[in-house]
Order: sequence, then structure tokens, then C-alpha cells
Amino acid sequence: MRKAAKAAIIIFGAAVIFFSLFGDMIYSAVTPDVSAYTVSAAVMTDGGLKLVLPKECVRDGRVMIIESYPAFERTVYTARSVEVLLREGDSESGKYLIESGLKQGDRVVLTSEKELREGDRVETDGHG
Amino acid sequence: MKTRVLKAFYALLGAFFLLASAALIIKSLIYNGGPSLLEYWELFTVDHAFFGYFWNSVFYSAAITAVSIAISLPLGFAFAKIRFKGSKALFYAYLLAALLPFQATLLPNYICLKSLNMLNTPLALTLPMMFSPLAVFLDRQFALSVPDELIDSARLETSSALRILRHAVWPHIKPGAAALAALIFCESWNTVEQALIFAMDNPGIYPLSVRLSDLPENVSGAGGATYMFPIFALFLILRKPLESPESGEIWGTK
Repeated sequence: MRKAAKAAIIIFGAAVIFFSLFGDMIYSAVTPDVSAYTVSAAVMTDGGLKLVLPKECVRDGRVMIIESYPAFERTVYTARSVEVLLREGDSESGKYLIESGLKQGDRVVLTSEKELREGDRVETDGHG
Repeated sequence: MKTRVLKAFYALLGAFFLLASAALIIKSLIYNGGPSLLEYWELFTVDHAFFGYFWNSVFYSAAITAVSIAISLPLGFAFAKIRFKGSKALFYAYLLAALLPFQATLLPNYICLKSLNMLNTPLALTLPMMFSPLAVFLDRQFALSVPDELIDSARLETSSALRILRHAVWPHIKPGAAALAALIFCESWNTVEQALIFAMDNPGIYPLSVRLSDLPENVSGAGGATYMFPIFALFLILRKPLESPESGEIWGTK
């Protein structure tokens, strides 16, 4: 019992030292970088939304947006999938016209290092 | 029979005091309803700023403990075994200082630190706690248990009080010093008010005890368990001297 407690304390201590040195680096390494566009007032019209996005951003009528929530002394970003209304007939140009589903301030993922799923953590440069 | 009942009673008492710690550790190992280390992963990677305050606490507590023991040991030995003019009056002054609650000395400490331009620096969080009258008092009590004949025979070898302390007295009071180190470490590890008042304009140097309550709820268990870890590690380090045969002489159980 004593040996087990001693081993547990030594292992935990090693983990504390390891993560205090490399924890931030590990988080950056496992969290994909994304670039995002922030839906601005300029694309909001009386009739709704007038936003053009590259085809790659839209999958099965859904786009990924970035949500943020506060963690301990940092902001954590996660990806969330939202359904959008596309205008028909524009798929040949390589872009879609988004008519609704997004609101001003939403940050739409344009590119990502890897394929994102609902709830995935992401890192963004903060520009939109 | 009586010894067995006593042992069982002490074991239950110890378990009772450990209940809260055990519950915290168990909570930290459960994530989304199942056993998992994800809470620790979240704390160590996402909430990495936690470690800044953790190492602040480790540094402050280690420094306070080391300096307190280094200062209080010779002082306690001097009060116990060396006759000098005014030793009794000085010792009673120490006793009086030891009885004062820290709230009584908070304002004088603040004024002193401010005049020395030490506020909002790590010195403000360590210096006031390094000179503990209680440590001197306890070390004196430990040194009193060392037989005078031992000191007299050591005096035949050397006239240096520090060498007598090092070679003749220290092996006997090691368990007491170990217990004192544990007490001082725990006290300085849990300090909150001094940090909030003496470093209010520099939150970056706060110890973990101040920032622990700001941890998000999803990592609070792991944060609390990691906060307790240095105390367990300290006990592991000090277990040998605390359980040594001489400790019975110090505590009067032999």
C-alpha cells in the first residue's frame, strides 16, 4: 500500500512537471488552426443575409462556426455546425450564396488544418 | 485489547479527516459520468495558466520553510542551552509575538513593506512569514529534550555553538524539525489573505491558494487534487525522520 502510494505520488509529480513545461505546447499541437470569417453588418440586408462562401466551407447544407467560452485565463474556441439556406444554382462557380442561418458576429470557418466535427476545439488567429 | 481499540480509533479518526480529500480525488477521476483522466488533461493543457500559480506557491512555501527552519533552529538551541543575559526576557517577547494573530500584525507588516518598496513583489509574500516566533518556540522545546551531558561532551571537542548544534543536537531534534517543516509548509501553502493584501496590484505573483476558486467547474476536482499533491509529496519526503526512533523522545511517548 505504501509502495503504491509512493509510486502514485512520484508518477503524478512527474506528470505535473512534464505538463507545466509542455502542456501549452501539447494543446497547440493537438488543436487545429482554423481561419474564420466574421459575419459583418455589411452582408446583413433587410431581406436577410447576402454572404458568399467558398464551396469547401459548406457540407450538406451546414457550415461550421466558432464559439468561444472562457477557460482559466484564456478563451477556448470550439466548432459548432449550423444549418444554412443556400441559393440554388450557384454551385458551379465554386461558391455558395448563403441566404439565412447565420447572424451578425458569427465566425464562419473558412479553412481548417483537419476535418472538424461538432465540439472540436480549434485555435484561431482572432481575425475575421 | 486496549491498544487495539486505541489503534482502531486513531485509524478511524485519520480516515475521517481524509474523507474530504478522498472525495475530491474521486471526483477528479470521474468525467461525464465515467472514470477518466480527462479532467486532468483539461487542467494541464487547456487551463495551463494554472501552473504559473502552482509553481509560485511551491517557490514561496519552499523558501519560507527553508529559511524558517534555518533561522529558528539556532535560535531555539540558543534559548534552550545557552545562558546569556536577557535570554528569558527575549524568549517571553517571542512567546508574546507567537500568541498574536496574524491580523494584528497585518497592518504593521503592510506599512513596513510599503516603506521598503517591497509591496507587489514575491518578497512581500515570503519575508513576513520567514521569521516565525512559533518555530523558535517549538525548536526550543525540541532542544530542551537533548541531554545537557551530550552538549557538555560536545563542548570538549569544540567551542563552536554551531558545530555543537550540527553534530550533537541536530540528530536528536531531526524528527521535530521535520514536523515543524511540515507545519510551516502547510501554513504557507494555504496562505490567502497576505497574498491578497500585499500583492493586490500584481496578480501574476499570487499563490495558487488565491486563484484556486477561479478555476472552471469542469476542472475543479483536478485542480483541488493537484493543489493537495505537494502536501502528500512532502509527507513522503519527511516520513522517515517523522517515524524515526528519536521521534518518540521528542513527543514524550518513550
